[in-house]
Amino acid sequence: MGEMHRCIEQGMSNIGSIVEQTFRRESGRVMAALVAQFSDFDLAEDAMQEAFAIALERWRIAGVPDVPGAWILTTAKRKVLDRLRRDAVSARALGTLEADTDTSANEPTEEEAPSMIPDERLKLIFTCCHPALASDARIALTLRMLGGLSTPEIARAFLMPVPAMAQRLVRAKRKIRDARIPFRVPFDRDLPERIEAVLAVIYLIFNEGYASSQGDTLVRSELAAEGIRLGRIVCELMPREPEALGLLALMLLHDARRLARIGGGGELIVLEEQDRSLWDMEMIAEGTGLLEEAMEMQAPGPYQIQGAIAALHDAAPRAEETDWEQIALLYAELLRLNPTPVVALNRAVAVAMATTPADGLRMIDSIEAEGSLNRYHLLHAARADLLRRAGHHVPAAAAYMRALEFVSNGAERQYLARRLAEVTSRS
Amino acid sequence: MQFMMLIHTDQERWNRLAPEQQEQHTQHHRNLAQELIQQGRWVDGGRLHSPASGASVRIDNGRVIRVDGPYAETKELVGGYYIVECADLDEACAIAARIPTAAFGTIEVRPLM
Repeated sequence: MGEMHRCIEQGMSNIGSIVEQTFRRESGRVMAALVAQFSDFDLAEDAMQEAFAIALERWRIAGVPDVPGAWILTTAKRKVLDRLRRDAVSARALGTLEADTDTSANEPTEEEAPSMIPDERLKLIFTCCHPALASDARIALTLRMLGGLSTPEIARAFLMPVPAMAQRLVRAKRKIRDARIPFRVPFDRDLPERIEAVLAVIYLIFNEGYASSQGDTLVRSELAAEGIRLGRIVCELMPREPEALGLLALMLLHDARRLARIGGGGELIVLEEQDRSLWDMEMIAEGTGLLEEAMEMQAPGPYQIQGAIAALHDAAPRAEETDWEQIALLYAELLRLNPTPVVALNRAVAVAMATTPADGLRMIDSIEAEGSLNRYHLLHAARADLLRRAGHHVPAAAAYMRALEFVSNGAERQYLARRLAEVTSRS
Repeated sequence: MQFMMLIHTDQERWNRLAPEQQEQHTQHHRNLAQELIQQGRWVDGGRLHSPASGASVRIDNGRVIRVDGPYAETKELVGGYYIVECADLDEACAIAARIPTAAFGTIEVRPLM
Protein backbone atom coordinates (compact mmCIF):
# COMPACT_ATOMS: atom_id res chain seq x y z
CA MET A 1 0.00 0.00 0.00
CA GLY A 2 2.78 2.39 1.02
CA GLU A 3 4.67 1.41 -2.13
CA MET A 4 1.65 2.16 -4.25
CA HIS A 5 1.20 5.55 -2.63
CA ARG A 6 4.78 6.39 -3.36
CA CYS A 7 4.30 5.38 -6.98
CA ILE A 8 1.23 7.55 -7.30
CA GLU A 9 2.89 10.48 -5.63
CA GLN A 10 5.91 10.11 -7.84
CA GLY A 11 3.63 9.83 -10.84
CA MET A 12 1.83 12.96 -9.78
CA SER A 13 4.96 15.01 -9.35
CA ASN A 14 6.18 13.69 -12.70
CA ILE A 15 2.98 14.86 -14.37
CA GLY A 16 3.45 18.20 -12.64
CA SER A 17 6.90 18.59 -14.07
CA ILE A 18 5.81 17.39 -17.52
CA VAL A 19 3.05 20.01 -17.52
CA GLU A 20 5.57 22.61 -16.40
CA GLN A 21 8.03 21.64 -19.13
CA THR A 22 5.25 21.68 -21.69
CA PHE A 23 4.37 25.16 -20.48
CA ARG A 24 7.94 26.42 -20.82
CA ARG A 25 8.39 24.87 -24.24
CA GLU A 26 5.00 25.40 -25.84
CA SER A 27 3.19 28.31 -24.19
CA GLY A 28 4.54 30.90 -26.65
CA ARG A 29 3.47 28.79 -29.59
CA VAL A 30 0.02 28.06 -28.11
CA MET A 31 -0.47 31.72 -27.19
CA ALA A 32 0.46 32.82 -30.71
CA ALA A 33 -1.89 30.32 -32.33
CA LEU A 34 -4.76 31.42 -30.07
CA VAL A 35 -4.20 35.11 -30.72
CA ALA A 36 -3.94 34.41 -34.46
CA GLN A 37 -7.35 32.77 -34.37
CA PHE A 38 -9.23 34.95 -31.89
CA SER A 39 -7.39 38.31 -32.02
CA ASP A 40 -7.80 38.77 -28.29
CA PHE A 41 -4.86 38.54 -25.88
CA ASP A 42 -6.95 38.33 -22.70
CA LEU A 43 -9.18 35.61 -24.03
CA ALA A 44 -6.15 33.66 -25.25
CA GLU A 45 -4.32 34.02 -21.94
CA ASP A 46 -7.25 32.89 -19.82
CA ALA A 47 -8.03 29.93 -22.04
CA MET A 48 -4.41 28.78 -22.09
CA GLN A 49 -4.17 28.94 -18.29
CA GLU A 50 -7.33 26.90 -18.00
CA ALA A 51 -6.06 24.33 -20.49
CA PHE A 52 -2.86 23.80 -18.49
CA ALA A 53 -4.88 23.43 -15.28
CA ILE A 54 -7.03 20.77 -16.95
CA ALA A 55 -3.90 19.01 -18.25
CA LEU A 56 -2.61 18.70 -14.69
CA GLU A 57 -5.71 16.67 -13.77
CA ARG A 58 -6.41 14.83 -17.02
CA TRP A 59 -2.89 13.65 -17.82
CA ARG A 60 -2.66 11.92 -14.44
CA ILE A 61 -5.63 9.76 -15.33
CA ALA A 62 -5.48 9.44 -19.09
CA GLY A 63 -1.72 9.71 -19.55
CA VAL A 64 0.34 12.32 -21.33
CA PRO A 65 -0.81 12.82 -24.94
CA ASP A 66 1.64 12.22 -27.81
CA VAL A 67 1.83 15.89 -28.68
CA PRO A 68 1.20 17.71 -25.40
CA GLY A 69 1.31 21.21 -26.94
CA ALA A 70 -1.32 20.34 -29.54
CA TRP A 71 -3.55 18.88 -26.83
CA ILE A 72 -3.23 22.12 -24.87
CA LEU A 73 -4.07 24.20 -27.94
CA THR A 74 -7.17 22.15 -28.77
CA THR A 75 -8.34 22.29 -25.16
CA ALA A 76 -7.70 26.03 -24.97
CA LYS A 77 -9.69 26.61 -28.18
CA ARG A 78 -12.61 24.75 -26.58
CA LYS A 79 -12.33 26.96 -23.54
CA VAL A 80 -12.45 30.05 -25.73
CA LEU A 81 -15.55 28.68 -27.39
CA ASP A 82 -17.18 27.95 -24.03
CA ARG A 83 -16.42 31.45 -22.94
CA LEU A 84 -17.69 33.06 -26.15
CA ARG A 85 -20.83 31.03 -25.94
CA ARG A 86 -21.36 31.85 -22.29
CA ASP A 87 -20.80 35.54 -22.78
CA ALA A 88 -22.45 35.47 -26.21
CA VAL A 89 -19.82 38.03 -27.05
CA SER A 90 -19.51 37.47 -30.73
CA ALA A 91 -21.84 35.40 -32.84
CA ARG A 92 -19.47 35.73 -35.74
CA ALA A 93 -16.40 34.30 -33.96
CA LEU A 94 -18.60 31.42 -32.80
CA GLY A 95 -19.57 30.64 -36.34
CA THR A 96 -15.99 30.30 -37.56
CA LEU A 97 -15.08 28.12 -34.61
CA GLU A 98 -17.91 25.60 -34.89
CA ALA A 99 -16.60 24.67 -38.30
CA ASP A 100 -13.26 23.29 -37.16
CA THR A 101 -13.74 22.15 -33.58
CA ASP A 102 -15.96 19.44 -32.25
CA THR A 103 -17.31 20.68 -28.96
CA SER A 104 -19.08 17.60 -27.67
CA ALA A 105 -16.29 16.57 -25.29
CA ASN A 106 -14.38 18.69 -22.86
CA GLU A 107 -10.90 17.50 -23.75
CA PRO A 108 -9.55 16.21 -27.01
CA THR A 109 -9.01 12.50 -27.42
CA GLU A 110 -5.75 11.16 -28.85
CA GLU A 111 -7.18 10.92 -32.35
CA GLU A 112 -8.56 14.42 -32.64
CA ALA A 113 -5.63 16.33 -31.21
CA PRO A 114 -3.66 17.68 -34.19
CA SER A 115 -0.06 16.55 -34.44
CA MET A 116 1.31 20.06 -34.96
CA ILE A 117 0.77 23.55 -33.67
CA PRO A 118 0.82 26.19 -36.40
CA ASP A 119 3.75 28.48 -35.64
CA GLU A 120 2.44 32.03 -35.37
CA ARG A 121 5.15 33.19 -32.98
CA LEU A 122 6.78 35.51 -35.51
CA LYS A 123 3.57 37.55 -35.69
CA LEU A 124 3.31 37.47 -31.90
CA ILE A 125 6.80 38.86 -31.36
CA PHE A 126 6.31 41.64 -33.91
CA THR A 127 3.08 42.63 -32.19
CA CYS A 128 4.63 42.56 -28.71
CA CYS A 129 7.57 44.68 -29.93
CA HIS A 130 5.50 47.13 -31.99
CA PRO A 131 7.03 50.63 -32.06
CA ALA A 132 3.69 52.18 -31.07
CA LEU A 133 4.12 50.55 -27.64
CA ALA A 134 6.37 52.05 -24.97
CA SER A 135 9.68 50.26 -24.50
CA ASP A 136 8.73 49.03 -20.99
CA ALA A 137 5.48 47.65 -22.33
CA ARG A 138 7.26 45.81 -25.15
CA ILE A 139 9.59 44.09 -22.70
CA ALA A 140 6.80 43.06 -20.32
CA LEU A 141 4.55 41.80 -23.12
CA THR A 142 7.31 39.81 -24.80
CA LEU A 143 8.26 38.08 -21.55
CA ARG A 144 4.60 37.38 -20.72
CA MET A 145 3.28 36.28 -24.12
CA LEU A 146 6.26 34.74 -25.85
CA GLY A 147 8.39 33.78 -22.84
CA GLY A 148 5.49 32.45 -20.77
CA LEU A 149 6.66 34.24 -17.60
CA SER A 150 3.95 35.01 -15.04
CA THR A 151 3.18 38.59 -14.09
CA PRO A 152 4.71 38.12 -10.58
CA GLU A 153 7.85 36.65 -12.18
CA ILE A 154 8.23 39.65 -14.49
CA ALA A 155 7.53 42.06 -11.63
CA ARG A 156 10.21 40.40 -9.52
CA ALA A 157 12.72 40.48 -12.35
CA PHE A 158 12.23 44.23 -12.74
CA LEU A 159 12.01 44.90 -8.98
CA MET A 160 8.50 46.24 -9.35
CA PRO A 161 5.36 45.66 -7.29
CA VAL A 162 3.11 43.03 -8.89
CA PRO A 163 0.06 45.33 -9.28
CA ALA A 164 2.17 47.90 -11.14
CA MET A 165 3.46 45.26 -13.56
CA ALA A 166 -0.08 43.85 -13.99
CA GLN A 167 -1.26 47.38 -14.78
CA ARG A 168 1.51 47.81 -17.36
CA LEU A 169 0.43 44.61 -19.12
CA VAL A 170 -3.25 45.56 -19.02
CA ARG A 171 -2.48 48.96 -20.56
CA ALA A 172 -0.31 47.40 -23.26
CA LYS A 173 -3.01 44.93 -24.23
CA ARG A 174 -5.61 47.69 -24.25
CA LYS A 175 -3.42 49.75 -26.53
CA ILE A 176 -3.00 46.84 -28.94
CA ARG A 177 -6.77 46.55 -29.09
CA ASP A 178 -7.68 50.25 -29.26
CA ALA A 179 -4.97 51.39 -31.64
CA ARG A 180 -5.47 48.33 -33.83
CA ILE A 181 -1.88 47.21 -33.61
CA PRO A 182 -1.95 44.34 -36.09
CA PHE A 183 -1.06 40.71 -35.47
CA ARG A 184 1.07 40.04 -38.52
CA VAL A 185 4.54 40.08 -39.97
CA PRO A 186 5.28 43.71 -40.98
CA PHE A 187 5.31 45.04 -44.52
CA ASP A 188 8.64 44.38 -46.29
CA ARG A 189 9.37 48.07 -46.35
CA ASP A 190 9.08 48.29 -42.55
CA LEU A 191 10.86 45.00 -41.86
CA PRO A 192 14.42 46.24 -41.14
CA GLU A 193 13.18 48.82 -38.62
CA ARG A 194 10.79 46.31 -37.04
CA ILE A 195 13.41 43.56 -36.75
CA GLU A 196 15.68 46.09 -35.09
CA ALA A 197 12.93 46.83 -32.55
CA VAL A 198 12.50 43.11 -31.78
CA LEU A 199 16.23 42.56 -31.32
CA ALA A 200 16.47 45.66 -29.12
CA VAL A 201 13.78 44.30 -26.79
CA ILE A 202 15.57 40.97 -26.46
CA TYR A 203 18.92 42.65 -25.82
CA LEU A 204 17.35 44.89 -23.16
CA ILE A 205 15.92 41.81 -21.43
CA PHE A 206 19.33 40.11 -21.54
CA ASN A 207 21.15 43.20 -20.31
CA GLU A 208 18.72 43.79 -17.49
CA GLY A 209 19.63 40.28 -16.35
CA TYR A 210 23.33 40.51 -17.14
CA ALA A 211 24.16 43.98 -15.88
CA SER A 212 21.11 45.12 -14.00
CA SER A 213 20.90 48.85 -13.56
CA GLN A 214 19.49 48.59 -10.08
CA GLY A 215 19.98 46.60 -6.94
CA ASP A 216 22.91 44.66 -5.62
CA THR A 217 22.71 41.53 -7.70
CA LEU A 218 24.89 42.07 -10.71
CA VAL A 219 23.55 39.10 -12.60
CA ARG A 220 19.85 38.41 -12.41
CA SER A 221 20.53 35.26 -14.30
CA GLU A 222 16.95 34.23 -15.06
CA LEU A 223 16.48 37.33 -17.18
CA ALA A 224 19.74 36.77 -19.03
CA ALA A 225 18.71 33.16 -19.68
CA GLU A 226 15.30 34.38 -20.84
CA GLY A 227 16.97 36.81 -23.26
CA ILE A 228 19.01 33.97 -24.71
CA ARG A 229 15.95 31.73 -24.98
CA LEU A 230 14.05 34.48 -26.84
CA GLY A 231 17.11 35.04 -29.02
CA ARG A 232 17.05 31.37 -29.97
CA ILE A 233 13.36 31.58 -30.87
CA VAL A 234 13.97 34.59 -33.11
CA CYS A 235 16.88 32.82 -34.85
CA GLU A 236 14.70 29.78 -35.38
CA LEU A 237 11.97 31.99 -36.88
CA MET A 238 14.31 34.16 -38.98
CA PRO A 239 17.29 31.93 -39.77
CA ARG A 240 18.49 34.21 -42.58
CA GLU A 241 18.67 37.34 -40.44
CA PRO A 242 22.37 37.95 -39.70
CA GLU A 243 21.75 40.48 -36.91
CA ALA A 244 19.48 38.00 -35.09
CA LEU A 245 22.31 35.45 -35.20
CA GLY A 246 24.75 38.19 -34.19
CA LEU A 247 22.65 39.09 -31.17
CA LEU A 248 22.34 35.48 -30.01
CA ALA A 249 26.11 35.08 -30.44
CA LEU A 250 26.75 38.28 -28.50
CA MET A 251 24.56 37.16 -25.59
CA LEU A 252 26.16 33.70 -25.44
CA LEU A 253 29.68 35.10 -25.64
CA HIS A 254 28.96 37.43 -22.70
CA ASP A 255 26.97 34.98 -20.63
CA ALA A 256 29.78 32.43 -20.97
CA ARG A 257 31.75 34.56 -18.49
CA ARG A 258 28.91 34.74 -15.94
CA LEU A 259 30.48 32.52 -13.27
CA ALA A 260 33.82 34.30 -13.47
CA ARG A 261 32.27 37.74 -13.29
CA ILE A 262 31.00 37.68 -9.72
CA GLY A 263 33.21 36.99 -6.73
CA GLY A 264 32.27 35.07 -3.59
CA GLY A 265 31.10 38.27 -1.92
CA GLY A 266 28.90 39.27 -4.87
CA GLU A 267 31.48 41.79 -6.09
CA LEU A 268 32.18 42.53 -9.74
CA ILE A 269 35.30 40.93 -11.18
CA VAL A 270 36.44 42.81 -14.29
CA LEU A 271 37.42 40.92 -17.43
CA GLU A 272 41.12 41.40 -16.80
CA GLU A 273 41.00 39.75 -13.37
CA GLN A 274 38.61 36.91 -14.15
CA ASP A 275 39.54 33.26 -13.68
CA ARG A 276 39.23 32.22 -17.30
CA SER A 277 38.98 28.52 -16.42
CA LEU A 278 35.47 29.34 -15.17
CA TRP A 279 34.34 30.47 -18.61
CA ASP A 280 31.82 28.21 -20.32
CA MET A 281 33.73 26.91 -23.33
CA GLU A 282 30.67 25.25 -24.86
CA MET A 283 28.81 28.54 -24.91
CA ILE A 284 31.83 30.29 -26.40
CA ALA A 285 32.07 27.65 -29.12
CA GLU A 286 28.37 27.99 -29.90
CA GLY A 287 28.54 31.79 -29.95
CA THR A 288 31.61 31.79 -32.19
CA GLY A 289 29.95 29.36 -34.59
CA LEU A 290 26.80 31.49 -34.81
CA LEU A 291 28.91 34.56 -35.44
CA GLU A 292 30.74 32.89 -38.32
CA GLU A 293 27.41 31.81 -39.79
CA ALA A 294 26.13 35.40 -39.54
CA MET A 295 29.24 36.90 -41.09
CA GLU A 296 29.02 34.57 -44.09
CA MET A 297 25.80 36.40 -44.98
CA GLN A 298 27.90 39.51 -45.69
CA ALA A 299 25.63 42.03 -44.02
CA PRO A 300 27.48 43.32 -40.97
CA GLY A 301 25.61 45.17 -38.25
CA PRO A 302 26.05 46.40 -34.70
CA TYR A 303 25.21 43.10 -32.99
CA GLN A 304 27.62 41.12 -35.16
CA ILE A 305 30.39 43.63 -34.49
CA GLN A 306 29.77 43.58 -30.74
CA GLY A 307 29.66 39.78 -30.94
CA ALA A 308 33.03 39.79 -32.72
CA ILE A 309 34.49 41.99 -29.97
CA ALA A 310 33.17 39.63 -27.28
CA ALA A 311 34.58 36.67 -29.24
CA LEU A 312 38.05 38.27 -29.31
CA HIS A 313 37.95 38.71 -25.53
CA ASP A 314 36.77 35.13 -25.09
CA ALA A 315 39.51 33.82 -27.40
CA ALA A 316 42.36 35.18 -25.27
CA PRO A 317 43.74 32.53 -22.88
CA ARG A 318 45.17 35.32 -20.69
CA ALA A 319 44.16 38.99 -20.42
CA GLU A 320 47.58 40.09 -21.75
CA GLU A 321 47.00 38.11 -24.92
CA THR A 322 43.84 40.06 -25.87
CA ASP A 323 43.95 41.33 -29.45
CA TRP A 324 43.26 44.98 -28.55
CA GLU A 325 44.29 46.27 -31.97
CA GLN A 326 41.58 44.23 -33.64
CA ILE A 327 39.10 45.23 -30.94
CA ALA A 328 39.91 48.93 -31.45
CA LEU A 329 39.28 48.51 -35.20
CA LEU A 330 35.94 46.82 -34.54
CA TYR A 331 34.92 49.66 -32.22
CA ALA A 332 35.83 52.16 -34.92
CA GLU A 333 33.52 50.29 -37.29
CA LEU A 334 30.78 50.16 -34.64
CA LEU A 335 31.18 53.90 -34.08
CA ARG A 336 30.68 54.48 -37.80
CA LEU A 337 27.37 52.54 -37.77
CA ASN A 338 26.33 53.75 -34.36
CA PRO A 339 27.91 57.12 -33.58
CA THR A 340 27.14 57.46 -29.88
CA PRO A 341 29.41 58.74 -27.09
CA VAL A 342 29.16 55.39 -25.26
CA VAL A 343 30.62 53.57 -28.27
CA ALA A 344 33.28 56.28 -28.56
CA LEU A 345 34.16 55.69 -24.90
CA ASN A 346 34.59 51.96 -25.47
CA ARG A 347 36.75 52.67 -28.47
CA ALA A 348 38.91 55.03 -26.41
CA VAL A 349 39.57 52.26 -23.88
CA ALA A 350 40.42 49.78 -26.65
CA VAL A 351 42.79 52.27 -28.27
CA ALA A 352 44.46 52.90 -24.90
CA MET A 353 44.97 49.18 -24.41
CA ALA A 354 46.31 48.75 -27.93
CA THR A 355 48.68 51.73 -27.68
CA THR A 356 49.27 53.83 -24.56
CA PRO A 357 46.91 55.10 -21.81
CA ALA A 358 47.70 58.69 -22.90
CA ASP A 359 46.06 58.18 -26.33
CA GLY A 360 42.91 56.84 -24.71
CA LEU A 361 42.83 59.59 -22.09
CA ARG A 362 42.94 62.26 -24.78
CA MET A 363 39.95 60.63 -26.48
CA ILE A 364 38.06 60.44 -23.17
CA ASP A 365 38.75 64.16 -22.58
CA SER A 366 37.18 65.08 -25.89
CA ILE A 367 34.17 62.79 -25.25
CA GLU A 368 33.66 64.51 -21.91
CA ALA A 369 34.01 67.94 -23.53
CA GLU A 370 31.14 67.00 -25.82
CA GLY A 371 29.05 66.91 -22.64
CA SER A 372 26.42 64.18 -22.71
CA LEU A 373 28.37 61.61 -20.65
CA ASN A 374 29.40 63.92 -17.80
CA ARG A 375 27.22 62.08 -15.33
CA TYR A 376 27.92 58.58 -16.71
CA HIS A 377 29.89 56.60 -14.12
CA LEU A 378 31.69 54.49 -16.72
CA LEU A 379 33.30 57.55 -18.33
CA HIS A 380 34.93 58.46 -15.02
CA ALA A 381 35.71 54.82 -14.25
CA ALA A 382 37.43 54.38 -17.63
CA ARG A 383 39.52 57.51 -17.08
CA ALA A 384 40.38 56.36 -13.55
CA ASP A 385 41.48 52.92 -14.77
CA LEU A 386 43.71 54.41 -17.48
CA LEU A 387 45.26 56.91 -15.05
CA ARG A 388 45.90 54.07 -12.61
CA ARG A 389 47.57 52.02 -15.35
CA ALA A 390 49.75 54.99 -16.22
CA GLY A 391 50.75 55.26 -12.55
CA HIS A 392 49.04 58.64 -11.94
CA HIS A 393 47.48 57.68 -8.65
CA VAL A 394 46.31 61.09 -7.41
CA PRO A 395 44.23 62.03 -10.48
CA ALA A 396 43.08 58.38 -10.66
CA ALA A 397 41.67 58.67 -7.14
CA ALA A 398 39.80 61.85 -8.10
CA ALA A 399 38.30 60.09 -11.14
CA TYR A 400 37.25 57.04 -9.06
CA MET A 401 35.50 59.42 -6.69
CA ARG A 402 33.64 61.02 -9.60
CA ALA A 403 32.60 57.57 -10.83
CA LEU A 404 31.34 56.67 -7.35
CA GLU A 405 29.12 59.75 -7.37
CA PHE A 406 27.15 58.42 -10.33
CA VAL A 407 27.20 54.61 -10.04
CA SER A 408 23.89 52.92 -9.13
CA ASN A 409 24.72 49.21 -9.21
CA GLY A 410 25.97 47.85 -5.88
CA ALA A 411 28.54 45.41 -7.26
CA GLU A 412 30.08 48.07 -9.48
CA ARG A 413 30.17 50.43 -6.53
CA GLN A 414 32.17 47.85 -4.56
CA TYR A 415 34.66 47.49 -7.41
CA LEU A 416 35.18 51.25 -7.71
CA ALA A 417 35.57 51.65 -3.94
CA ARG A 418 38.22 48.91 -3.90
CA ARG A 419 40.17 50.60 -6.70
CA LEU A 420 39.88 53.95 -4.96
CA ALA A 421 41.35 52.43 -1.77
CA GLU A 422 44.21 50.91 -3.83
CA VAL A 423 45.27 54.11 -5.56
CA THR A 424 44.83 56.15 -2.37
CA SER A 425 47.20 53.84 -0.47
CA ARG A 426 49.79 54.16 -3.25
CA SER A 427 49.64 57.89 -3.68
CA MET B 1 -11.74 51.12 -38.96
CA GLN B 2 -11.31 54.86 -39.37
CA PHE B 3 -8.06 56.58 -38.47
CA MET B 4 -7.59 60.28 -38.06
CA MET B 5 -4.29 61.70 -39.23
CA LEU B 6 -3.67 65.03 -37.59
CA ILE B 7 -1.11 67.05 -39.49
CA HIS B 8 1.05 69.08 -37.12
CA THR B 9 3.12 71.68 -38.89
CA ASP B 10 5.50 74.46 -38.13
CA GLN B 11 3.92 77.49 -39.80
CA GLU B 12 7.24 79.33 -40.05
CA ARG B 13 8.85 76.48 -41.95
CA TRP B 14 5.91 76.43 -44.33
CA ASN B 15 6.16 80.19 -44.84
CA ARG B 16 9.82 79.90 -45.75
CA LEU B 17 9.04 77.59 -48.70
CA ALA B 18 9.12 79.15 -52.17
CA PRO B 19 5.67 79.59 -53.75
CA GLU B 20 6.37 76.88 -56.36
CA GLN B 21 7.40 74.48 -53.55
CA GLN B 22 4.17 75.26 -51.72
CA GLU B 23 2.21 74.62 -54.90
CA GLN B 24 4.03 71.32 -55.49
CA HIS B 25 3.33 70.29 -51.90
CA THR B 26 -0.38 71.03 -52.27
CA GLN B 27 -0.43 69.05 -55.51
CA HIS B 28 1.05 66.03 -53.69
CA HIS B 29 -1.77 66.27 -51.16
CA ARG B 30 -4.33 66.33 -53.95
CA ASN B 31 -2.75 63.30 -55.63
CA LEU B 32 -2.73 61.28 -52.42
CA ALA B 33 -6.33 62.25 -51.61
CA GLN B 34 -7.35 61.29 -55.15
CA GLU B 35 -5.71 57.90 -54.79
CA LEU B 36 -7.43 57.27 -51.44
CA ILE B 37 -10.78 58.27 -52.92
CA GLN B 38 -10.29 55.83 -55.79
CA GLN B 39 -9.45 53.07 -53.31
CA GLY B 40 -12.66 53.85 -51.44
CA ARG B 41 -10.71 54.61 -48.25
CA TRP B 42 -11.21 58.34 -48.08
CA VAL B 43 -13.60 59.53 -45.38
CA ASP B 44 -12.78 63.19 -44.91
CA GLY B 45 -9.96 65.66 -44.78
CA GLY B 46 -9.03 69.26 -45.14
CA ARG B 47 -6.66 72.06 -44.54
CA LEU B 48 -7.10 74.61 -41.76
CA HIS B 49 -6.52 78.33 -41.86
CA SER B 50 -3.59 79.55 -39.77
CA PRO B 51 -3.97 79.10 -35.99
CA ALA B 52 -4.12 82.87 -35.50
CA SER B 53 -7.30 83.02 -37.55
CA GLY B 54 -9.25 80.98 -35.00
CA ALA B 55 -10.13 81.10 -31.34
CA SER B 56 -10.14 78.78 -28.33
CA VAL B 57 -13.09 78.39 -26.00
CA ARG B 58 -13.41 76.81 -22.58
CA ILE B 59 -15.74 77.09 -19.63
CA ASP B 60 -14.26 78.21 -16.34
CA ASN B 61 -16.55 78.29 -13.29
CA GLY B 62 -19.58 78.44 -15.52
CA ARG B 63 -18.16 81.34 -17.49
CA VAL B 64 -17.25 81.04 -21.13
CA ILE B 65 -13.65 82.06 -21.72
CA ARG B 66 -12.72 82.85 -25.29
CA VAL B 67 -9.13 83.29 -26.32
CA ASP B 68 -7.88 84.44 -29.69
CA GLY B 69 -5.76 81.95 -31.54
CA PRO B 70 -4.61 78.53 -30.42
CA TYR B 71 -4.65 77.36 -26.82
CA ALA B 72 -1.09 76.06 -26.62
CA GLU B 73 2.07 77.98 -27.31
CA THR B 74 3.84 75.26 -29.28
CA LYS B 75 5.66 75.57 -32.54
CA GLU B 76 3.90 72.67 -34.26
CA LEU B 77 0.14 73.13 -34.57
CA VAL B 78 -2.60 71.25 -36.35
CA GLY B 79 -2.72 72.48 -39.92
CA GLY B 80 -5.03 69.89 -41.41
CA TYR B 81 -6.29 66.33 -41.16
CA TYR B 82 -7.20 63.21 -43.08
CA ILE B 83 -9.72 60.60 -41.99
CA VAL B 84 -8.99 57.34 -43.77
CA GLU B 85 -10.38 53.82 -43.60
CA CYS B 86 -7.54 51.40 -42.72
CA ALA B 87 -7.34 47.79 -41.56
CA ASP B 88 -4.92 48.49 -38.73
CA LEU B 89 -2.33 50.84 -37.29
CA ASP B 90 0.47 49.66 -39.59
CA GLU B 91 -1.60 50.38 -42.68
CA ALA B 92 -2.59 53.78 -41.26
CA CYS B 93 1.04 54.66 -40.50
CA ALA B 94 2.08 53.62 -44.01
CA ILE B 95 -0.46 56.05 -45.48
CA ALA B 96 0.43 58.77 -42.98
CA ALA B 97 4.07 58.48 -44.04
CA ARG B 98 2.98 59.40 -47.58
CA ILE B 99 1.30 62.63 -46.50
CA PRO B 100 3.75 65.17 -47.93
CA THR B 101 3.76 67.28 -44.76
CA ALA B 102 5.41 64.37 -42.91
CA ALA B 103 8.66 65.66 -44.40
CA PHE B 104 8.59 68.83 -42.30
CA GLY B 105 6.01 68.21 -39.64
CA THR B 106 4.53 65.35 -37.64
CA ILE B 107 1.51 63.25 -38.50
CA GLU B 108 -0.32 62.03 -35.43
CA VAL B 109 -2.23 58.84 -36.21
CA ARG B 110 -5.20 57.97 -33.99
CA PRO B 111 -8.04 55.50 -34.37
CA LEU B 112 -11.60 56.87 -34.14
CA MET B 113 -13.70 55.22 -31.48
